[in-house]
Amino acid sequence: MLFAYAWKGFWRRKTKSILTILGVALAVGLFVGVVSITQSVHQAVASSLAAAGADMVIQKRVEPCPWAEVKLPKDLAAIPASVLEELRKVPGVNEASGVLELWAFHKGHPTMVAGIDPTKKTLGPVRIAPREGEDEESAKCCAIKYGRYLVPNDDYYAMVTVPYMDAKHLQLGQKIFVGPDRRFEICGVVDLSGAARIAAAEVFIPLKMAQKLLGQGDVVSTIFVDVADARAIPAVQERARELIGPEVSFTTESNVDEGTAALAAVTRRSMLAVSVLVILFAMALLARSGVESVMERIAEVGLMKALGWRNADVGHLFMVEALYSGIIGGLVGCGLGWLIAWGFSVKADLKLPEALASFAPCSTTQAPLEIPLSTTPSLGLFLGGLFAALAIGALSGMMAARRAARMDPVVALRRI
Amino acid sequence: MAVNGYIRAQQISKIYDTGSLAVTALAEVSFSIAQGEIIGLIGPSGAGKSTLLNLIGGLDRATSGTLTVGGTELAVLDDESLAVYRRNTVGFIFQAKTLMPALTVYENCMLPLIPVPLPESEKHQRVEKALEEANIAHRAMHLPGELSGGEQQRAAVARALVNDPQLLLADEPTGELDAENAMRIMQLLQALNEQGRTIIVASHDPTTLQIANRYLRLSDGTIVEEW
Repeated sequence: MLFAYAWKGFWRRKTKSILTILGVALAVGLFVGVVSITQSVHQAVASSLAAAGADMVIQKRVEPCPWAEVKLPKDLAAIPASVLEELRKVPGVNEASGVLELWAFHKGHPTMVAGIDPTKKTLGPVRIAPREGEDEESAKCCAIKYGRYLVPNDDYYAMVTVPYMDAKHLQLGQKIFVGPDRRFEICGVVDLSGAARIAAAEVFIPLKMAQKLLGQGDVVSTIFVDVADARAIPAVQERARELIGPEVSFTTESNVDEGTAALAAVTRRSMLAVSVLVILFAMALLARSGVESVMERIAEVGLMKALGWRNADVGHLFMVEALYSGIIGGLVGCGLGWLIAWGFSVKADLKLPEALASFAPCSTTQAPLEIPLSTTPSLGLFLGGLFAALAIGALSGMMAARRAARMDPVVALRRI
Repeated sequence: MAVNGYIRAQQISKIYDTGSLAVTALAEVSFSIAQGEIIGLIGPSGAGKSTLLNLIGGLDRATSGTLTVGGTELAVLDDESLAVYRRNTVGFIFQAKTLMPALTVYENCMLPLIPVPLPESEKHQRVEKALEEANIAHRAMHLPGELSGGEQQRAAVARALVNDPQLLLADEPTGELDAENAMRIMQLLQALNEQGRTIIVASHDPTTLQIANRYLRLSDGTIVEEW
């Protein structure tokens, strides 16, 4: 009966109750929205690693050499392929796969080429199988649209991307120039949409053929590493430094989002800090509001005490009313937060750092750097938002209950 | 004076200390009230009538002296026990303006029972019985603003009866009523007294206290006359 009375009383004071709900909703909405956005951005940019089936990407940077018909892109350096074998020996490493990215010029026009290891079907910029434990949908792999994947004994065969095929009006079985004078037959067409791709290219050829084109021996430019446990990453990094040298760079899930342009201005931590501060501010504001509401209802409180309500009974009433604010405000706030996150995902324009994709400025197609962003409501975040709202309501209720308990009924009744 | 009975007061005083000034609302008052009596408290405004009712009703505590109701010394009760005492033993009949304007008469009468651990059905039975006793059941679903002055006061009486108290304390119950309605309220109180309830009525108008068995006249916080 107390709950029913509190509910009626809550809606008798419509304006105050609605304003309180709005306050809670805005605070919770901001918190949920910010956390949802940062989570989804982090997941989205990390998906570029997931699309390659990798937990880490290793590259080496040097001064670029501009004069060659087949060259390493930008400032990428050649890494001996023997490093792969050494990295596979590091405890915790499931697999390591090397890719050789090239700019191959034919009659002055570059083609973005990546030499990939056809035996590594689950690791690399174009993979055709999910890792153990991944489902095909979330893996963003399995990119073959037409034709077939490269096989180990392939030599002058290539896979091309859908945009490249469309731009050049190509067909399966057709031969294309890769470099000044080598022609490769198109055996497959791959679809790289749906995720930003590290070490993406327009044309994929067997690694051994890419090494032959470059003419620098058994080398790779980018190493993808799949580890059993993220705790193995530091050991892999240390071994890679020993083998490759101090110019080595690492890209992992924890640092890839710091490179994306959208988060350059505001870091995840500061956004979270702001949202937590807003929650605390809302708590303080509504706690004060709770005390004020007791003072506004001083005559009612005095009457209740005169009619036999104990201090605890009066306190429970104010607590229940405050919790109603919290619950309703929390539900509205969670919905509002998800809307904020959804609005951001629709408008956001996130891209991978240019350093992770080596397309030339004059390439035929655009580098697949766009990061699709989606916000899926998370039960954990919903419960967290609701908990924050209830905490706000509970604090307000407790402050009101304390004030009501201290109220002298004789003094209160004089207000009637 | 023999200090024995249902309500016993021995040298009770109430002093309000406002910091710079101490106000003596009651000064060493002693009296005894037997169970089932109707007592009229008479005196001008500021004489201490409301203060005495508040002390007997457990709304306030005496500064000194002993006050016992039904064998219970009120001074030894903590806040929670005093609230339970008020709930179980006392029915306060305030002026009608203490009715909650946004609640119906029925809901106003339910107010004292909300925190009481009783089955819902029993609470409803008590409210309906109290409304019948106060002869206001036919207006149960109306808001106080829709009632006449007399009906509002009867609603206030009904609210005081829901916990079936043995002691009714009425502070100026006819204060804003015309003579006819005032008489009706006093007749209602008399009928309640005939059920065995002890009733103390405070009023500055002695003509409304014709139902009383005994009278205590207060002036400046002391009992100056008793008959």
